[in-house]
Amino acid sequence: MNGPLTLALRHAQRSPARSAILVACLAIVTTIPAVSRVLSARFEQTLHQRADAVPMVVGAAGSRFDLVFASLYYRSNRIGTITMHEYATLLRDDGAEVLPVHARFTARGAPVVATSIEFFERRGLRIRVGRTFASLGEVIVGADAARRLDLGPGDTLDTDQLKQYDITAPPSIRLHVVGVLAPTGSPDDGAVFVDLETAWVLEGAAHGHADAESIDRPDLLIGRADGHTALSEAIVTSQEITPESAGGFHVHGSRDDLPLTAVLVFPHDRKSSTIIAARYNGTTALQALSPSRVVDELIEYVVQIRRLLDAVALVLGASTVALVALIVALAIRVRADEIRTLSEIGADRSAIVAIFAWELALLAWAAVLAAAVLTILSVTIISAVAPLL
Amino acid sequence: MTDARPSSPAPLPVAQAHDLRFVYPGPDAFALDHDLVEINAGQHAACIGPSGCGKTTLLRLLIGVLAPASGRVVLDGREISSMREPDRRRARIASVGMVFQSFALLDYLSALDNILLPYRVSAVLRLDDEARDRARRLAADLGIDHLLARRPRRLSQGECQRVAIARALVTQPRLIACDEPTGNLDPDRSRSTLDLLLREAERTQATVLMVTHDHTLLDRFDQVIDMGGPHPSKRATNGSAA
Repeated sequence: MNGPLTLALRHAQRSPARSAILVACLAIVTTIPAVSRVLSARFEQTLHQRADAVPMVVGAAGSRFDLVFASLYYRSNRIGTITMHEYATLLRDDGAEVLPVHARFTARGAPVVATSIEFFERRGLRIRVGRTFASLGEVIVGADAARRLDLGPGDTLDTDQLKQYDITAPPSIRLHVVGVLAPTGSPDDGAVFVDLETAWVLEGAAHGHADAESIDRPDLLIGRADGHTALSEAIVTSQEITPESAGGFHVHGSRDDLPLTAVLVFPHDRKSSTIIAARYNGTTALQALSPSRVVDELIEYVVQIRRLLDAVALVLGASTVALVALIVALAIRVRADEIRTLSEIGADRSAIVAIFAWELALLAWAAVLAAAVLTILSVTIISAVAPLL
Repeated sequence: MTDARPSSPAPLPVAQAHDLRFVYPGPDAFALDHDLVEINAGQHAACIGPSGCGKTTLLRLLIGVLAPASGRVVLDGREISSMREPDRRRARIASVGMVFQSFALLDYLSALDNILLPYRVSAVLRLDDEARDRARRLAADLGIDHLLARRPRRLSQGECQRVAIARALVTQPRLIACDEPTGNLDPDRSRSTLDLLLREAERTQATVLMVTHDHTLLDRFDQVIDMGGPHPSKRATNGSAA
């Protein structure tokens, strides 16, 4: 082995604590900007991948970020609703493929996404175990949600009560798991999927109870006339949709008034896209957004935060380099006798410099290695504990 | 002042200095002048004199650690006084083994690594199996072969001195330059260390030049350079060996 390298190695080995502290300081200073860069790059990539796949989202007027995040990433339930009428209008226009989305509820923390069967084909979602939903109350679980909640076909899943102290709010509903999706590495993995009718049950727009014709208790029956039956509010609605009770679930009012949180729009051409955007952006109650543009706007903020982090890391790095320089200067002073001895026995000046240079290089190499390991560990842990999307 | 003992055939000098002048920088500069110094091959030379008279300076001039202001220094047949500093270093590590008063062992190296140190810091020397074998043989001769894995702090003073001697000899130098190697030792230990050093030097046919304060050791030397006197630098001028 190279002589100065051997001596540098021996010196570093003699003071493992000192070497470890130096390596740790350098590694931490390198890890912080590296982790922020990896995470923000991953964040940007994930956001864009999803946003670029959907050319347009139509939803209620309000925060554009909330609409995009609720519709594509299922990360917000602070979102207004539009009606099935808008969906039907878009469907009739034939200028685009349209997919309805209702995403306002959760079940044991997982977002409940109500949509049509075409959604799965468009997203490229495959069933890994079981089958797709075929009737009211059936649910397909995303891969991560299935793992996290330990669910598989045959299990049940209760939805979360949005307002626990509001006794007029629709009750929690027990859903039946019929399938699990294959993982896709997207927000779909963490969601559970139901049909739109099930979402309307969660909204309270649809419900199920005992056959009205068979109810004759005076406290529940208000009256019957012309084939219509009026029941009291005191009637208990079903909290579980079973094959037996499914037939009893029904909607009061027009189907056109039933709520959706968004419609994903895939225009056939630029002209259709322009027409649809113009139609909705000309109203005050609705908006049509390009998710890519909204995401670009969001990423601008992320980039600004990253620049700030980079600046902090730069200052931190500069002070660390200054400290390392000070340590090297002190080390040279402490090792002055050694340098004198080496000079007197006839050591090459370059060899003496190389001993110090190698020791610094070894520490830097160990720091880079430690930083790489720390970065991978940090990114893995952060991604697991707090998924980006 | 030099006492030259009669010796058989006239050996060639290993180190030689003519009209040597050296001045340390500064207002109260110490100056050293020598007309002629010769250390003959195979001989044991001692350099004595009071503190501050320039013994160590002369030793350093003769082996090229210092460059003279004027004059000529020849080491192992090469005129080192006209060499550039890097060349003087190479000439020194190839021809001179050094033993220091404080042993100057590197505390983070094992005894074996300390012995092999010259091979690790110069492009002139090549660390091969032969050098390693020689280091082990020397350690065995000096009775420290069982201590080769130990670091200096786990060695006694005498053991450290032996490691230092082995380091000076391992490159098979023509000249062993010793700067008061017995200065910190008691009289018994001084004599036994000197015995060891001279025995190994004779075995390897190396010349010894030793700076010392200990006059009781002088009977062991073939040649003595006495730099003492009322006017040290002037006395040094007259101190020539032949």
